[in-house]
Amino acid sequence: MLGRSLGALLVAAAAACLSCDKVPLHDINASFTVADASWFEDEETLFVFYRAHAEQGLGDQSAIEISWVTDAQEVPWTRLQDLPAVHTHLPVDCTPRGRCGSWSVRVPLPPRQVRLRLRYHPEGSLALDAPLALNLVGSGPAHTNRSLLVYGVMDATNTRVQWRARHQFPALRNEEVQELGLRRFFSVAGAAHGDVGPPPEGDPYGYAFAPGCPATLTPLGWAAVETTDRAIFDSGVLPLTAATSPAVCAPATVTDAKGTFTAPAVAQKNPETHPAFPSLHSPIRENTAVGFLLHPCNRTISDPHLGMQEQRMLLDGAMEICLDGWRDPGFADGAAAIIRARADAVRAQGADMVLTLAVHHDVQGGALGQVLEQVLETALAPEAGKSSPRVSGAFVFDSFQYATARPAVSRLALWCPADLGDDLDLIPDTSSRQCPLLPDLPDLQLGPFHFGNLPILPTRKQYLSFIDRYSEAQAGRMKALVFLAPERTPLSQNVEVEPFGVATFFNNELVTAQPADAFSYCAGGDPLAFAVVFRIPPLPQPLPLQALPQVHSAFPQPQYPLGLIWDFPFLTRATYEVVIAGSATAFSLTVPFGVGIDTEAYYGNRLWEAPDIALSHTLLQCTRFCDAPTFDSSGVYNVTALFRPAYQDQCYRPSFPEPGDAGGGFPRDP
Amino acid sequence: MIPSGALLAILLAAAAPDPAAQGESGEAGAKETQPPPPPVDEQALEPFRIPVEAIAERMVGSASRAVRFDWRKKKVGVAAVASDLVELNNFSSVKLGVSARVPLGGFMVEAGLSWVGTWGSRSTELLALTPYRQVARPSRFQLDANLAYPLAEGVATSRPGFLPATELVFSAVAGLRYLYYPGSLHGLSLREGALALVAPLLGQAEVDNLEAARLPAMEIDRARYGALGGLTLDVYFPPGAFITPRVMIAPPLLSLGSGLGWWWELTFSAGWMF
Repeated sequence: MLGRSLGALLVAAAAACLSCDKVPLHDINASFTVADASWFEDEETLFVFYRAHAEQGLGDQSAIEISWVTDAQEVPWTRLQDLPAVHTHLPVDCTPRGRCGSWSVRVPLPPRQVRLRLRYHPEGSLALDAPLALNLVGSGPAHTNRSLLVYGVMDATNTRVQWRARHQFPALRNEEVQELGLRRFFSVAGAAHGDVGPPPEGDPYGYAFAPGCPATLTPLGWAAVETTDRAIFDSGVLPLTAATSPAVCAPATVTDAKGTFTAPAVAQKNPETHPAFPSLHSPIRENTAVGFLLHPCNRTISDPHLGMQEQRMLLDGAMEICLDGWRDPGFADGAAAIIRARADAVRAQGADMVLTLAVHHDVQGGALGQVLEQVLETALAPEAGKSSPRVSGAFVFDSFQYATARPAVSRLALWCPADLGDDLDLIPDTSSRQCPLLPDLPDLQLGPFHFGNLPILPTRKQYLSFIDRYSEAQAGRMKALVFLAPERTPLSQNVEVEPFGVATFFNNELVTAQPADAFSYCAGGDPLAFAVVFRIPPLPQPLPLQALPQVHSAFPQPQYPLGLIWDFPFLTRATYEVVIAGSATAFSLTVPFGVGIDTEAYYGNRLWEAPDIALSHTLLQCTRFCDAPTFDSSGVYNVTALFRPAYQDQCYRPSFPEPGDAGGGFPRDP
Repeated sequence: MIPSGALLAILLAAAAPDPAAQGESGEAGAKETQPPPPPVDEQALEPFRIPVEAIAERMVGSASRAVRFDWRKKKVGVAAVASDLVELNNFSSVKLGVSARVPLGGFMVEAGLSWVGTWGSRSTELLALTPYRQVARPSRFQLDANLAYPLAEGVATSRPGFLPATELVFSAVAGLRYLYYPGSLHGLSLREGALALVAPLLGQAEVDNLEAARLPAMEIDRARYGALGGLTLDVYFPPGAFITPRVMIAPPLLSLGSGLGWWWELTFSAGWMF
């Protein structure tokens, strides 16, 4: 025992002694992520930007040193902060593990052998040389060959001017320069408004576009403003007399190593936009159901099924049409005449109508359906071009599945039941387009218990097999049928748009425009905006609203009538009770039971659900300054994104600068 | 329960010969010759024989208790503490603080609060001129929790002679240590601070906050907890004064996230048991 303990102690001591070394020294792993120097000949200024980092942190004594050689002088290693700065450089917090900043020194001649290093300690001789990138910018135009340019922007009202300075370095971006502490002084005085013309090629801001602002401009008399921030609002507000002036021009003065430099700066007005057509209004009316019960009058097929059809279509007291002579040549015209006469009688009440037909028959193969299609086409065709009150369409409840063959009928009639098959356990994933009313719940088998439910508009075979398994009381019932359709005016026009449907121009809704106007279409607005179309005289077919900006740009029209394209004339809202029917089978005895659930289903065109389609965010119209630069939603001034070409198919949601807004004098300007 | 004295009396009574029976057998013995008792097997007993002195010596180590001063009967003790932290780097650290100790069963439980001051050396000054750092810990507060188990104790005569006889307790000690760096939580939210206080390692925000307190050439050790083990000698002077020299070792295997490796702590405490 004692021997084992001593052995374990020795092993532990030996293992521990592996760590008996002195605490080691670690390299701080310092490196430069930014080491950039830029010399501007016109400013005689050398700018230095640096960003050094060390894993273990840099001491307070660590410093950035620079040296360079010109044809006239050789500057040895010197702490940057010991050199006189041309501009203001704020200290930058780069966490204790970093050293960041910038500096500017006057260097009249082109520098050579510019070197930058991180000296770990002023009393030590160890330093880390930076991989310095040196750019020499020779003399040239001010908007490209100087380190700072000045431009102006307008607020949302186009009456206040914000003057901005923008750093311009070969290898660093504007906001990065700002982050590294460089601040530039600039002042603006003597603003005037008027038309300065388009900016020169390659100078989208228009900075220093001329030696001075044109003398034709109207002076504004505003007091001078100056700042070392990147932006400042001018002191005045544009008068109403300047409403048509596209720009404000003012001499802007910046400082450099040689003194000051003054050049004209331009503030262009923002595009003036408004919703081209704020809302397309189309009153939606509830249509009157005109019911018909079509069945053999001389024989009985199935009383339970006939009763179910009457209940589903709510045909209590409806007009009956006998199908005994449906094969007669004159049956279709006769039935259509009956329907038209009934519709005319109801029309006198002043409401639009929807025909509701329950067809009780045992004719297999669809021959009767074809005859009934002819009846409906004859009855409905004259109604399509009428103004309200009119017959909007028809709702047919057949005894069998049937797919309509006539396009005119398919477009106007809802034909049920869906083509789902007779076996409820084999319901297909897709149903026919005519009446896609599916069972509200799938069938479920749990041991001796079986749960199922019947589609509210079943075939006769489905219905009879269901009530045989469960009971008639669990087949559900229709509570209400509401038909919604748009009101047509005497001016309403239908335009066939194959193969989609019909475009209706209801009441002379139109957008007026000048040739110089510009439009912007935004796809993120009202989800029903896709149904809005417009037309122009040369083209017979309506065009989607999305194409209006391009059409107006290529073939400007004074007006664009607006309409709605639809594929079905009304919306059906069915409120019914569906019963989750169950049966328990044991010892050859089946006991049915069920739970009723109120359900609501829509079929038809959801376009007719609400009377208004909001277009205020969908189609914008620019009426003035449409070729001006734009702000985006983040507040960035995109000087090359002119409204007319850039926003034809983009959403224009500008965020304008405001006095006192967040960010103050540091606008987002990458 | 039967008292031990009564039990002894019963056993003695049972072992004593019955006088009546003795009289009868005496008479019979007089008439018949008794066989001699078997001889004692001295060789079989020899391995089990132990001198009385040896038995007494053994009992001293396991059964003796304080004679002059019984620390187990005291309630609490307080002490001033001073330590030299011997780290294997080029920085120096000294600890000053207070501690409280409470006897608990056969153990001594101790808790302490102390301030540790750290300073550099000529070596660190020179090291600061280079891009190298050495792991160490800035000045800080420490919380200690120790548990001592007596291995040996006894009474000893002290010198000089006017001092009373002392009670010596030699113990093995295990301890846990928690470090708190003032200013390390600056700028953290209440939740972040609460989480940082219990985290096993210093977070980057805490290390950044300690940058100003860091000595030149120091790389801050991120361990917040430490485990130590060692030996201690408590010298008690009746009626309650005591001094305690102690040696503690911090094995690196028990200090999570520390880059210090082995280090020692030499501690001297002086206090009073109440």
